[in-house]
Amino acid sequence: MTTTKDQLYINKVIKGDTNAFAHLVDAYKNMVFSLSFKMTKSREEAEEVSQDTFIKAFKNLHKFKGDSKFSTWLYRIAYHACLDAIKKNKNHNNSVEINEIIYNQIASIDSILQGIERKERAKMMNDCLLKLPEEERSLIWMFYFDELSLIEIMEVTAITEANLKVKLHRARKKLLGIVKENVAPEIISHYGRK
Amino acid sequence: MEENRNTAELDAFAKKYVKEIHTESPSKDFTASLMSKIVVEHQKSVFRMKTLISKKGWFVIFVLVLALILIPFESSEKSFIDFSELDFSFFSKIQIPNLSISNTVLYAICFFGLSFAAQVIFLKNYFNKRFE
Repeated sequence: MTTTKDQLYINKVIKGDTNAFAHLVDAYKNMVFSLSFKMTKSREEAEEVSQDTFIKAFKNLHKFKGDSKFSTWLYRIAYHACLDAIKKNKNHNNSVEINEIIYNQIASIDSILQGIERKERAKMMNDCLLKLPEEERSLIWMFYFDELSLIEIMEVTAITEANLKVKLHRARKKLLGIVKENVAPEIISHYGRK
Repeated sequence: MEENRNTAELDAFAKKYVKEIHTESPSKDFTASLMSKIVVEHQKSVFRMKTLISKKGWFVIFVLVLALILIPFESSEKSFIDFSELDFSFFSKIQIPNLSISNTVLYAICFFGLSFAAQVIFLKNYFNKRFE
């Protein structure tokens, strides 16, 4: 959806046409829900957080000045709503010990993943992603799935650029480590075949 | 150099596989239930109760009253109300009849007053909540 189209609906909502907001909801509900689900790891909670996000966006729509993309603005609301939900629900324990990554294993992990059926691979990657701590999980999701730029992520999370780069790098490494552990049995047999 | 190459490799790896993950969709009635909440929210904002005199208004009134009282004292000019010229002698002319109230009646009046004040607070909260 183009930004001008978003702006059109935003203007309508501000003028009092509440129903126009439904277009914005339909356009962005998957984006918001996916982020919420990835961050909270619970469908119910993600649904609740997504609803809260849109209600908050509706209430504050007049404050949206169009300096950034509407999606980024909405993303920021969703991200902080997720953080609040996570803070409230302290049982999200996500400390994963990551062993040292051996970079030369990327190629073999890659070829094993290629051998898995796409649908199953996507599910496996999703499971691996969910094993990352919340912050790193959300950064990976924003950067690689929703393809937000570094500047946009900085705007959403209020993390400085240098810090963001470090965090992203660490998150990537951790993700690779988790994937590696998941496909470890295959790696051994892979080496065996060589 | 080696580190950069590794980072690029890792970046390509993440890009390739994270993008394959499916998005999640909320429940089918997500938009409908959300919109019903939005409508309620909208109505609330339209019919939001506004106090007749806002806090700012009260502040202005307070300042004005204070100014009216204080300025005449400060300035040498003759003020609107000169307290020294006012005749308060009528106070002594007021004859208050000698009423005798028994302790019981006094307690009853006090209790009535307290209950009344409590009710005012209670009702105010009740109506505030109803119109929230």
